[in-house]
Amino acid sequence: MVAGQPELGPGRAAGYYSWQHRLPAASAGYLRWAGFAGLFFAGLLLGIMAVLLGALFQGQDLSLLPDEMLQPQLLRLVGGAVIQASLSAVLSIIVGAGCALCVFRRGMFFGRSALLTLSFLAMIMPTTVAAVSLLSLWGRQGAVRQSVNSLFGTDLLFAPYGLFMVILAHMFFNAPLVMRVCLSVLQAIPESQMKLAAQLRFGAGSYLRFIEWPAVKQALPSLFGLIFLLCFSSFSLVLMLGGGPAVSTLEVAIYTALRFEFNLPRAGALALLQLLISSVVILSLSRLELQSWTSRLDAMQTVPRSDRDRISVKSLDIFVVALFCLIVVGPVLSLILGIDIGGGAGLFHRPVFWSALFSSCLLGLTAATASTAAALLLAAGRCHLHYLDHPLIRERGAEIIALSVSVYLVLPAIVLGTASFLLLRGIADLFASAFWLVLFSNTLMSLPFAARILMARYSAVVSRSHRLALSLNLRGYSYFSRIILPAMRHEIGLSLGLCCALSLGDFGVIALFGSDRFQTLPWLLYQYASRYGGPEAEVLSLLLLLLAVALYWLLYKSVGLWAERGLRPC
Amino acid sequence: MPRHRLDFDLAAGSVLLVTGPSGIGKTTLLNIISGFVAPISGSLNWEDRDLLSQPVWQRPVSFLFQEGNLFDHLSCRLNLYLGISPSGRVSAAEAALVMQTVTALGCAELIDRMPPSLSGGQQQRMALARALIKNDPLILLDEPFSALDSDNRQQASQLIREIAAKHNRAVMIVSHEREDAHALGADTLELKPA
Amino acid sequence: MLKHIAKYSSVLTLSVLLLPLSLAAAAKARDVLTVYTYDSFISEWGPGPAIEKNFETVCSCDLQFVGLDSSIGILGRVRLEGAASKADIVLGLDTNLTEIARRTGLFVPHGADMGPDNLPLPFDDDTFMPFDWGYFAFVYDRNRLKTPPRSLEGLISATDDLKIVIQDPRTSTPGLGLLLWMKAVYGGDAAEKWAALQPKILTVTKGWWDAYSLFLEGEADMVLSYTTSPAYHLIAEGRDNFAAAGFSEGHYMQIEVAAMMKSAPQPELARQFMNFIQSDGFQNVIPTANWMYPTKKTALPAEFSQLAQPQTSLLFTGRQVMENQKQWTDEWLQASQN
Repeated sequence: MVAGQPELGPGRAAGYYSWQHRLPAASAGYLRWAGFAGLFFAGLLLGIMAVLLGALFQGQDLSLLPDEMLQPQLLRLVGGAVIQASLSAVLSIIVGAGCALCVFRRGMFFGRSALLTLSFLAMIMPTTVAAVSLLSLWGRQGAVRQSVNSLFGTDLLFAPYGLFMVILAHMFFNAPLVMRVCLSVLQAIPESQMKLAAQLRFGAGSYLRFIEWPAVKQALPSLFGLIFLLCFSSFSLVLMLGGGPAVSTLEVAIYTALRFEFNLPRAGALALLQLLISSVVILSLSRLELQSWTSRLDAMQTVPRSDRDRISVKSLDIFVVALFCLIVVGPVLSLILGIDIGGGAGLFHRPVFWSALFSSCLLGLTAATASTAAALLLAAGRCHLHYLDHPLIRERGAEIIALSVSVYLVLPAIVLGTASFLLLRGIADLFASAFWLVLFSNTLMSLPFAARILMARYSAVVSRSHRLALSLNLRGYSYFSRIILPAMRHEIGLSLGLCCALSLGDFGVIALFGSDRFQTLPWLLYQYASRYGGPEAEVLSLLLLLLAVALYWLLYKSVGLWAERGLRPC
Repeated sequence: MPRHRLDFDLAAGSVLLVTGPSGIGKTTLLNIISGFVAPISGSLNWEDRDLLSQPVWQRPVSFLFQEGNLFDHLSCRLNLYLGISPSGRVSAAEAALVMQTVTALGCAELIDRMPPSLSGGQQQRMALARALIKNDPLILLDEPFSALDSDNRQQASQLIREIAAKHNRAVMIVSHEREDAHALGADTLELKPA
Repeated sequence: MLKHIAKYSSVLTLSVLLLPLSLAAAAKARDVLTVYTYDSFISEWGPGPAIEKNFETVCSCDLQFVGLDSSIGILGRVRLEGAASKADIVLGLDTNLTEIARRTGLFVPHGADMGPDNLPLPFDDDTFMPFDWGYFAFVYDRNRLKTPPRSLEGLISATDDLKIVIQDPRTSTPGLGLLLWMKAVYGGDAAEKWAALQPKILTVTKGWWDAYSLFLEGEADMVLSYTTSPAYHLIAEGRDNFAAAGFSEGHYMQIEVAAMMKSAPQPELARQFMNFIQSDGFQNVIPTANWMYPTKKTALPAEFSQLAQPQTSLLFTGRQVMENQKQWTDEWLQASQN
């Protein structure tokens, strides 16, 4: 080894020339088409959104728009909602990422998979059920509050209804997501780094500073963006736990404008305001690096860690995981344990239950397929944008795609529903199309999740394989089906499973369209509950959760196996 | 799962070359010595210390893997400092020692670069510098020559030989090229299929 | 493997395409009467199925309910659809909405000869036909709250330990009911009284279910609901520990109405249905399926006699509500944000 002499090594450098080196045009043809197709699709989604929003303004005087949007009362409300959403996002990230770090450090321990499964359930619980379960621990009569009271003789916790309770509920829904994402990012740390750290006798601080934080921080911007938008547009939860109209969101105003005042332009103006704020958040985050939410939670790091056995570190881990359990797992458990299953058994004798079950499964599976396919197309677009010739398209393309992924987060369901109604009323039979509208809405709803799972991974797979593939003359469709799909099988499985679970639990727009022909499980749940539901509603919510988990695992596992079979020559 | 019986001694200041066909377990042997893998049975001692009962971080061993010996997102300088203290903070005297070592290894001008901008050979040399700084008496190298052409191979063998002698380290090298033994002045331990 | 995916997804798509078609095809034979209502009305244990069966035996037609998310949702829907609406009847507006609905010009007088005879107040309207009614009330658990307030004033001046949960007047019918109740009792002093009530309000939920689950969970001592709510617990669950507190100032009423669309595709059937509303086939179903009082004197289950019977019924006209709702809501918002 002589200094100064060029040493060309394989391996290390390979990950490094990802996009700086563009392929010659002769070889990049099909990639350019993929980029174009993705961009076109993104444009289509944004176009649909613009047309939907435009429908609310049909034949209206637009000069009043700024006045509608700039009322001081409204701006105060928006300010409050921004604070609430930011705090919710930051605290969800702290608790979720903190728990992921501790779980990652501990490796395999008793209850690990229970922790992961139960926290997955939290993500898809119906709002009211979740809120009540949360209150069974943290509410006025809640177990945690009661024990604090009896321990200290006075109530030291935050007020049971108010801003902090809303944030706690948002943590309940979102910290599990953060935990999953961060844990899989941590599991993806190369084994050599962990071995190196053990040899260098790292303490917990050094692990965090030199290994874990650099890995985790790349996932945080997109997590923050997603959670911020979810909390910013949260509605019934904010009203239920906020303690009064002082804690509120823009959605309440949109609902009022649309429903009570029947003032479509005003609702449109408010939706536009929400869209503007959300877009600022999305676009400012889209510049930050993409990080794939990879998925192999079952692949465990087995490298020993030099910080694991200290008493202080052990107690920190126990404390953090216990806090996470109190916020996330406890309420889920309290729901499951509190259910009177015998009382709800009558459910199974009702035909409506079985037809709702069928519709829900059908809807979940199709919506999951649709949003995963859409996310793949957008991922291809995002990845191959570099081959489009116009520099402006290359630059703006990434932003267009980032926005299109989040269409559902920037446009409230009620606006989406009303606007598509306005557009379609003369054209289609809306009762017969209820399924399609709900499918469309559910696809858009799970798209941000699917895209975050698939996008960066797609780029990584392509950057690793496309030169080799080109040299083997594997191009276009065969490259996609032979190389990309099998390499992404875990991500695709995860995306399908998660999207399916999410649309299964979504109440969304179904109630807005209304039909007695198409009923889903959440719809049925609200039906039971809205007339003194009793045990049926509880059993139904438990079934909903179990079904979501079952379909999640089915999709996740079966796609993995399926893709592996696809690897064999046929 | 192949099983091997092994019995060997290694003296400070000497170099031992481990060879054998692919998949025979050369790297596993290094993993056992460094503590990442437990042997089925047997004993492992360094100067009367029983190593098997000690965790990775307490063994007097620096293990250089085939790749990934540096944290890609940290500068080379910080990577080297981590060999002295896990917090990455070093005294002025220790910093001087680091500079001295990288100068001796001929990669001083690279010290403020990020690892991915270095070639494979440069990265290996940087990692070797850290192993020297870390001052473990036993250095394990897994295929250190795989990234090098034959001229560089010669140079590298020379360097390792010097290190072993000058710093009084015991060096174990995994390679599938038996010819390396000559340039290294090393004894050979050949693993053969049972 | 993509071949498999393609095959699989085309099977899925096919079945999805067929689903709405096959369902739609089933219902061509007879004339169809389309009724828009709120969704819990048509749930299996709601009054919808029984009423459908009873009406279909007398009309030899096909009665189809369309369930929408709320009574305000029904109105919003027909306003969006306008004259192109498929609806013949809307069922489930309440008196707070009648004036707004009337002004849309979408509804025509029903011309029915049978009117209600069981309303505590005179109600005369040629367009909107009452089909059931009830009183808003605060419901409590006898085991948990031994001495409930006996008046609205008593509630407002109770100690702050007493926690109630109410609904948002902007998003919920009972919520609006309480807003009007306060206004009917206190008029110009309502804002002041809201401020005094504020410390006792645990939270203000979007809908009825959220509030009622908080109450059942034991979080709140009282919940804003209906005087008839305890009847459900008595009859369906056999539990007698729930009761509605009778308030001496009187209770605000909700009267639910139906109306016929001007653009009804089946005007004859629609008129027949409007007449049917006051008959036994409709009214007998109401008490134990919709948990409200029927508008015709009809046999009530014995348990209904155990319910609180308000002495005074309070009700604004639809016009008063329409003209003042926004101002009163803002007044409430102001009072409850301070």
